[in-house]
Amino acid sequence: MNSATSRLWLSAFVFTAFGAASMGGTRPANAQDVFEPAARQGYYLALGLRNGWGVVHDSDLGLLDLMPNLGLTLRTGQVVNDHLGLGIFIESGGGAGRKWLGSYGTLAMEGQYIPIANENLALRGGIGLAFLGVARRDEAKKRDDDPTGDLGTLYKLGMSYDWFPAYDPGDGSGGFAVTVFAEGQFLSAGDLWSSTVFVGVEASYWFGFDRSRLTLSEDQAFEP
Amino acid sequence: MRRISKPVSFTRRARLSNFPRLSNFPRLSNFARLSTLATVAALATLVAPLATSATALAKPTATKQSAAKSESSAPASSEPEAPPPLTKLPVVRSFSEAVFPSAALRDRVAATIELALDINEQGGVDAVVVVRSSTVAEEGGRAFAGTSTVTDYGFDRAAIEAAERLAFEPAEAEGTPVPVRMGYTVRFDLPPRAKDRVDRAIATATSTAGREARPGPGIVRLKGVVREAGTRRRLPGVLITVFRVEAGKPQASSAPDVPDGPDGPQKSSAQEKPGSRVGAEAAYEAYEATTNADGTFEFYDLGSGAWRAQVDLDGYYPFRTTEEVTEDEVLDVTYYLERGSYNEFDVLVEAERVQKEVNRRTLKAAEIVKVPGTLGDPINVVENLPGVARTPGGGGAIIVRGSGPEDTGVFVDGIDVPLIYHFGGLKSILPAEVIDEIEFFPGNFSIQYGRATGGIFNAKTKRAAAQGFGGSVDISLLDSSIYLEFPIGDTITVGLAGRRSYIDFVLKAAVPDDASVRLVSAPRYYDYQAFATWRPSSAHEVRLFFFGSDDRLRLLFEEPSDLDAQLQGTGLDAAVFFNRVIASYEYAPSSTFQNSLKIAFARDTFHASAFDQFSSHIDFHNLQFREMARYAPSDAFALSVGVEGILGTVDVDVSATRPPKEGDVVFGDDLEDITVISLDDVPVANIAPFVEAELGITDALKIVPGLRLDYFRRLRTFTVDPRLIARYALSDGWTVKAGVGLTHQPPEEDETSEGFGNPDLDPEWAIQYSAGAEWVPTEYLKLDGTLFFKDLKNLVSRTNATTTRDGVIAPLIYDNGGKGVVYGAELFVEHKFNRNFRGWLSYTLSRAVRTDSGDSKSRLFDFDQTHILSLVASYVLPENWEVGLRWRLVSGNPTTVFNGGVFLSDFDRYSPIPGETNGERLPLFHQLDLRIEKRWVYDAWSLSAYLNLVNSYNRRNVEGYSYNFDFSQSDTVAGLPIFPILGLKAEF
Repeated sequence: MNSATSRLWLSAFVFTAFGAASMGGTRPANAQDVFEPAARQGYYLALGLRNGWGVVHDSDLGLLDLMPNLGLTLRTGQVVNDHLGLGIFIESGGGAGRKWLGSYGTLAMEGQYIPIANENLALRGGIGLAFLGVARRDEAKKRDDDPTGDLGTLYKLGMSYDWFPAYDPGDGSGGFAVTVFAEGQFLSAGDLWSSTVFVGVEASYWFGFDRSRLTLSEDQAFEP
Repeated sequence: MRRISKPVSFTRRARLSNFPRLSNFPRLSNFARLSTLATVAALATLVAPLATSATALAKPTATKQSAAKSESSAPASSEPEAPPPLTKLPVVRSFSEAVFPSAALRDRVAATIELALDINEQGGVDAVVVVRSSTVAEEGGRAFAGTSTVTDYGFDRAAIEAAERLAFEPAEAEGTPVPVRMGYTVRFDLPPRAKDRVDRAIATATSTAGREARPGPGIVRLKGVVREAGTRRRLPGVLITVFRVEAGKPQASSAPDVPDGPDGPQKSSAQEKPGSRVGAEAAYEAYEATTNADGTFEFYDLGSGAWRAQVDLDGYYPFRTTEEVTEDEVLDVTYYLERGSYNEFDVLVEAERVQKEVNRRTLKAAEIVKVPGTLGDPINVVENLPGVARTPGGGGAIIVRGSGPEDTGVFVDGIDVPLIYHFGGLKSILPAEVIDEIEFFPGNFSIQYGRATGGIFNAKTKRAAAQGFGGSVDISLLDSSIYLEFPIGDTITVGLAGRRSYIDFVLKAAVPDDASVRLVSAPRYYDYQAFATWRPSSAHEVRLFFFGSDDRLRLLFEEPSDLDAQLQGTGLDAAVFFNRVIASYEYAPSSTFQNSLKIAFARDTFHASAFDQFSSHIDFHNLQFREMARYAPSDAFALSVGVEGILGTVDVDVSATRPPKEGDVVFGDDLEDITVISLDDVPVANIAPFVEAELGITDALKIVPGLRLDYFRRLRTFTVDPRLIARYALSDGWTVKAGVGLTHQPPEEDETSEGFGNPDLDPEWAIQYSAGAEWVPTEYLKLDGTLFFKDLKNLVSRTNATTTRDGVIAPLIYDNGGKGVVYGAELFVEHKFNRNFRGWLSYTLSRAVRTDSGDSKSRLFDFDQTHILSLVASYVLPENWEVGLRWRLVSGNPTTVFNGGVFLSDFDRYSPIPGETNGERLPLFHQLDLRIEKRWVYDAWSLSAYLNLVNSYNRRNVEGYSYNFDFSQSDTVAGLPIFPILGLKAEF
């Protein structure tokens, strides 16, 4: 008979005096994971340039223009676990079509999803406050009721890949990276909206995890 | 017995490579109440019967073997086979200490919880059941008012959670792992008070004086304190290990184990090594110590040189460092341990008060600040609860179950306050830092509250004793605040707080110089709080709480006639200022009797002036009091008796037109119709004794009848409010409830003044009915459904009737001819904090109608909102991140549309032609608010950054209509667009 596989509940109450749990303070009891050192860990700071093409549309005038777009990006945040990162970004840029000039700025929150843990490919999206401004290129054709701009909401979805050219596993946690990305952006501001597709490159620095969160050699772990 | 949900995963300890197993060192914990001797004794107790049964087992085995032989030759028996006897008992492989509930520690209550554990074949705990619970309050310990069950402190839950984290080497029967059920006792023993420890040390020293000197314990070489990073809280019961490795050199070990010492830090002596291991590659020398109640530890007689120190604690990241110890000095260190999560809900102990109301919603301060879109404001959060309507145009009022803002009582610690929001309604007059929790009753509230036909909102201020000097500084785009608290001795806590807005600076900078309006003093507010709490013993608490608020606005218009041709002058000035000093005394010698006395001295000042034509200055000095005694000789009966009231005088200087009222469509047609009133020292007296009984008819049925008598001096009237609430527990998870009650509310002051209104008005009244059910399927989920009906009578309403006063015919202006009906249903689904998630869904379906005096046809109430849906959710992520959202979907408010205008030549302007009063609705309102927060923890302080994104998808919600000069054209007035609120908060 294999009693290990049967559901036998032996109701022999055996009292032991193990569990005298006495404490003088409260302590939370979350599990604390520690990680193997890797490059893409901890906080990140990224400065980048992006180039794209998009359309600007007004509810009264219709399609205003197709315009190329150049922008600056500043991103910062943190990877919170193997698959998720959170942060904020500030972006600003502008473009010129045949008839209209456009400019935008945004302050938004961002999330990134890392499909394969500790790999460098990430999907990222964001939502936040944005400003969209437009103006006619030809001053002579300007009208009093032309749209000028408004505050609104920005939505963004894209993907990125971080390349760590100089990282060595012996370096510990974090490092410099070059990030390439592609993303789509939709901005709705009052009667105006725009949608743009971008590609870009960033220089980013990953600060790494604190040693208390890392699996280290004894000498590294006990550094004063 | 109470069965609970599936066990959570075990706490994983930090992994360190190449480190000797700690299990080689016997634990010399000062706080685990199991001494080495006790362990041996317990094991002996365990082994003895096992030895006996082992003998017995041998026989059954032999018997079984022989039975097996006989089985082969005899037919199988039809009776079920007896389970094989155990040959090995479960052995604890991974021990987890229970968390002592802080409320119990504060109240000096210990407990013993007997559990039954189901241990599976892998040694994991499948289920935990509470068999028996008992508590013991320390002599002089503070009673926990209103409850008598162990679960109120959370002992059961703490013991269950600790047991779920245990891991065993599984029991075996004939060499095969088998599942077993085992008894397990968790004892929550109180640590000695600091004073007791000192006294005992003195007694020991005194008792040994004159005897033969005993050898000293050695020389302290390394000592220190372990604190929690970010909060600086001292951590007791923490194991510190120091060791050093000398490769290739074996270490001799001949010292006996060191028994647990007396109270104080556990000492380890270099002459008494607890253990060592001699290995082929390296030998090491290592010692352990455990911090005492003050978080301190000491190591004696460590040899000179480098020692590696490691601190491991469940729930915290490991701490590792190297210390250099020398012979000629004492090394004093402080170790800061960073918690895995600084989410407040991890340490939030919710001791549930036994509920006696139909609906009572409570929110802790920690929950309040996290709700997106409310800017961390405790009052704004209430808007997301069932029964509360959305305030049009933003915050500034509480609209409950079809009653106006003036119909809901607003209290701070049971004391009435004149307003709850600063100008603009964005922030309330109390910051979240000084609040412990808010409680909200949408209807059928306790008899201790009155003079309101809507709901009751009560903010309870902070009462926890300060552990040390600490506080916070919060800076956001709207305002900045500071909070400080510190103890004085063991019995006094002092707190100070202040806040000031700076939106005035922003607006002044934003408004152009050539604008038609000039901000002399842009809307600005500040509020301030100070409290001192003295607890001379557990049964007594004396408290002084001072708080106040100051709001101011001054505008200058270039062309006021653009607003209205009748306006003269250029300025608009408004200010509201109030102070309260609340002295309170709480006496709770036991769970049988509690008494609460509160006396408040108050001053309220309201000032407004506009365009040299209108002015209003009201100064109200008053004394408020609230006394309540509760006697509960058993669980089946409790009696509360009390009295509360307001006494004071008011000075009134008003020169203005009559203020607008609910239901008014067009007002102030004639701005020349100004009434002037000047009154000094008008007495105010509202006194209300009350009595309430809590009757446990059966274990499941509880009835709460109450009676309240109100005297309104202004109206020279007495009113009687009887109320009845019943709750019946159908089963462990299901409760049905019902309530009916009569409430009276005096008219507003201007409605009964001789110049503005009718001095002969009577109080308004409402009969409130509600019935519902609650279902608690799990410890973390609660569903609450309620049907409600409210019958409003004697409502103050405008009238064209006249009366004769002193022989002169005069307009009545107001009478009590109004009435109303409100009915609806509420659903509240709440998920308490569990698995990093917290949130709730609130839905209200309601209809509120009014019938004005002299009208036969009813109309919609000004704030009637048919559907009110709020979804609030927040999720705690690793690395101290938290995200949250709030989504609201609300029916548009009723509105009266103007169908053109008629020119009034006497006033040289147009007057609108209104359509049916509240005959149309504004478009549907919906809005998504997001919140993200990140906390950085440093040794002595922590910094949080948060971003609130209000109206994230920039929904253009219509809040009303604006018209041109002749009311021939209209445009929508939109509410707030998307806007971010960035903030930083430092806590220390």
